[in-house]
Amino acid sequence: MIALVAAWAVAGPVAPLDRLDVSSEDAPSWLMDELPVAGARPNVAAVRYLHQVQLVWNAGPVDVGTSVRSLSVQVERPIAWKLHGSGAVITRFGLPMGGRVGLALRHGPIRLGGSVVLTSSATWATPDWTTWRLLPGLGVGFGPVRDRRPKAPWM
Amino acid sequence: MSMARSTVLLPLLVGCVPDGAPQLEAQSGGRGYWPANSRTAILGGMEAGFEAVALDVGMTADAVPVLAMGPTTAGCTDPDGVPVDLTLHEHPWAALKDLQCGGLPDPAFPNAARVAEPLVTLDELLRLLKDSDARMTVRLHLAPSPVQAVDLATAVCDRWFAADRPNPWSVSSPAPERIDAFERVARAQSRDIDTAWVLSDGSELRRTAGLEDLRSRIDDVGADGVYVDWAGVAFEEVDAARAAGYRVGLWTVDDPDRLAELSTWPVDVIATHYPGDGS
Repeated sequence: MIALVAAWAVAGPVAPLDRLDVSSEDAPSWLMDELPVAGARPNVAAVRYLHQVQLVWNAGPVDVGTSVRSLSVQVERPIAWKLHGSGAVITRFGLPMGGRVGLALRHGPIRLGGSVVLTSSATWATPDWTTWRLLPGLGVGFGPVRDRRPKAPWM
Repeated sequence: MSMARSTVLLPLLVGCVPDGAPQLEAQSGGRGYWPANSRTAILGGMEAGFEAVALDVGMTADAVPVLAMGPTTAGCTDPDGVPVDLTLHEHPWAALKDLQCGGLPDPAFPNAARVAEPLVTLDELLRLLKDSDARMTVRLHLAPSPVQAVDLATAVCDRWFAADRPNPWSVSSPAPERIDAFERVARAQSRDIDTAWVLSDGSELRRTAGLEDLRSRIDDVGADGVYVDWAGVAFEEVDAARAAGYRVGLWTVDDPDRLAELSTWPVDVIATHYPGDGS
């Protein structure tokens, strides 16, 4: 994560940073599975928390989420007022493992997201998509204020 | 689709609770109450109606399997009460049978009863099990020892198969070669045996990146299941391993609150030194 930020800072903002998600919708298992036992194993919970912290970069029509836990291609479009519809294909180091759909509220630099996340147990070690879980995802992120309205092709 | 447990944390969750609560397994016979691997522990567990018991097994120089936590007789005394620390695999049963074990305080479990008794052989365990509930599951955990894996597997399997007890049983070990030896010895006798790999290590980063997981590691060892340290394993890992057909156990959970919490995880068994406090 640090290397990613450093590389971005050195190379210049080739892909502008959309936000930093301190709670990522792409990795709901931290909230659902790890947080309830965090008191009993705080070190493990802390490491897994850091693994799910996500940097989201704007890459034209899509955003790309990067964390140790996941790599995702995200789409977010305004619906009304400050409300946005969002969706993502979630991968584990490039291996597709699920997706999510939901809503996001953007207010200034703050983004709050809620999604339904369908995630499989597929890993590079066991690329098997037979076991699935449906979990709620909660996103809390901070980033520069940007105009996310679709632009005309000539703009 | 394998669904997750429900929780009050976020009401959006769509899921259901696991099929059933996991078995509570009396680690070392219920070391929190009685001397580890002792006759008192075995009989106490049977009387208390424990559904599962895990006992540590080692082997003497003349190939007699005995219940003992480690490679030595640490915690035992001679008949005069003098502590004796003999290496099991270097001494024949005749040199060990008069030792008194379990009468000294167990520093890890100071409230456990102290009862000085001889070591329990596997033959004696099998005799004691005749009076047990046939549904009581027995796991033999292979204590660390330089004994050849095949010799230990042969000594244990020969006795267990000959006794023909109806109790479901399994063997566990952190050493893959021991798992393999038991599988091969049982197969050579046209029998099947449940084996479990006891796992405590692993790279958190590799797991997070999906470069290793429980399923692939159990598969590499060739075991039927796995016992993992609850302090490090992830819910989704055990969920996936169980969904893949592996028997999954957690070790060792002694805190009652933690036991209640982990009982909602999708695992088959939880090893605890206090099984009577978790039901």
